[in-house]
Amino acid sequence: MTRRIRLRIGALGGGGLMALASCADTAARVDVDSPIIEFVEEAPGELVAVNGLPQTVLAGLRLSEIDADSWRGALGVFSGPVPGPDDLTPPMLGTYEVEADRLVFRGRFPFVRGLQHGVRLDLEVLGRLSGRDAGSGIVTHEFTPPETEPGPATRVTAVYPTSGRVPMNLLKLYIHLSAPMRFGEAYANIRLVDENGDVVPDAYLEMPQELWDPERTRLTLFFDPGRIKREVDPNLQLGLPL
Amino acid sequence: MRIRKGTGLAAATALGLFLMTGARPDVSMTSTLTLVSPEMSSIGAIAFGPENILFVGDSEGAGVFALDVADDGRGSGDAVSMLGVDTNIAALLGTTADEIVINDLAVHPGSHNVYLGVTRGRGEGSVPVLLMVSASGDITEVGLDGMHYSRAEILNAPGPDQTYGRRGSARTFTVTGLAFAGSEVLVAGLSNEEFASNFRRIAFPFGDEFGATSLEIYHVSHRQNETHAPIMTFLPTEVDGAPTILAAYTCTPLVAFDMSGLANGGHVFGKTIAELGAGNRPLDIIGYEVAGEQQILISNSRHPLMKVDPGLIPGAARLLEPGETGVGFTAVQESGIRQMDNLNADYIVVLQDRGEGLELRSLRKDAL
Repeated sequence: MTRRIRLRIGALGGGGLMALASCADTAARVDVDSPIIEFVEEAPGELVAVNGLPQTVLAGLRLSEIDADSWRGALGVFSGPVPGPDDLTPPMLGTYEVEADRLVFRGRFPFVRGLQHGVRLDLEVLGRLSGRDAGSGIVTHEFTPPETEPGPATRVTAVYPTSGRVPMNLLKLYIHLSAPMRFGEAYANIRLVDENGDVVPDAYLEMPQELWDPERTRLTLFFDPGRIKREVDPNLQLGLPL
Repeated sequence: MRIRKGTGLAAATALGLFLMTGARPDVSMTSTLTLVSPEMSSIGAIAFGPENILFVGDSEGAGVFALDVADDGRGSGDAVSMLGVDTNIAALLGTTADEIVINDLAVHPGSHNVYLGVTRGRGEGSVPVLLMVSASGDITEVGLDGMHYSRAEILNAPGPDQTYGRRGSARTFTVTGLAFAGSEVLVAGLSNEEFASNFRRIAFPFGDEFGATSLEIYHVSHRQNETHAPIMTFLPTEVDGAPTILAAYTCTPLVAFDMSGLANGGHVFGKTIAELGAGNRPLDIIGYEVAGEQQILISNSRHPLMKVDPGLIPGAARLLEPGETGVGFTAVQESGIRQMDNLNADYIVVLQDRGEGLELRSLRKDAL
């Protein structure tokens, strides 16, 4: 369930200041000279908007040829807290667009839900890019895109072969899951355990890419035949993937 | 004996090979890349080929792409190094380092820019991204919009007793290694249904009439049994003038296959020349030259970097007895090395995990 905070600020130098806050969980005191940065979810997709920039600055930005690197120097969006002055962590890739009354950034990829993001607006750099005076100082903002409701937990639905006793030279095993799985975590969640409850090390082939079917609901485990040396009844202990 | 790496082919050697195989050197390979804006489902392995065309193995889409990356070849060629390459890439792609997988690395032979095949995200929304790191440490995305390319299927060539078919099939082929050799793209990988060592061979330029043909590879294990096992990584090379594949397997024997007697759809028998140790998975293998001597490096999941003297291969006895270790190899005291490639005449570049995230490091060849 997403919430949207909308703050509208009337034109500078014109009529009076009008601030409409709906669903606001912070009743911010608005400074008319300071642009407001917000994370917005609106069709067709999510974006970061900078509101409250003077029209002259927006017009100047529209007229200028600005490359991606320069944009990122003026308005940087980070997949983490805003880095300090000595931190060279780069801002994320995306596109910048000057709309009628705001500057927007759309990420190259979807924003990671539940991850705290930082935004850094350098007014002096922005001013230089626009050829106008946009003021000075750095405006920062942090936001966390709300997570979607988790679905039901994924379960192991079947393991083939199904028999509890398998031949010593069993070469492969299929593990079926109820929903498509993330890759990269399978082997950490699967253990082969002997009759004493001890984990058998290096029992199966670990591939960095793992071995999934196209739907990613069936995992293939290959037992390295060179490693099956003991007489054990394979007793599979599977962690429930989340 | 000339050793060359499929991914760092010197132009002169490539030309020589084309002539050997009867290809017409005046036909530009790049001009055969007539499609535009490739869409890849995944990037499993990458390697440069003739005319600096970048080959990409797409496991999920079951295809091999040939990309004209249009790198104008102007690079300083200086040694590149970057701490936290994974965190930097993650930041650029709007996520965190644990959501980034760097699948492979290849150096553009002209510009010496380092290309990385990356996956962003591990779940439903995972996307492949092709990135480039310059010597000065700039990371840029190699945009696929408007890029010229061609593509070949991986899964359309069944063996006699196998039914390949992509519709409704649970079968996948996970690419573990890829290289251009002779006039073909060789793809090593692992099926999720057979514990087999199938190479795919695809004639290049790709054409409709050429699909991938399957190549069964056997190597003789300690008890003289023919063994199928998945090849993890391989290096096309030459030994005593004969085209040879050096292949490193999951259970870490190093096997040499003489390709010169290869018939279409035939079987190839290899000679196990070294055992690199149990409980270890080889990750990458490259060849390079230093002070006029050829060397081969193998990176491993557990063991440190291993250097093998290819000069010993022709005379190497077939490994048959347990406990034999075969062709002399030495351990280089660098661990955590994953992918590697030649950077320039003096350096190799590696992706390395020394316990604090991933690094791009350039290592002097004469210091290995």
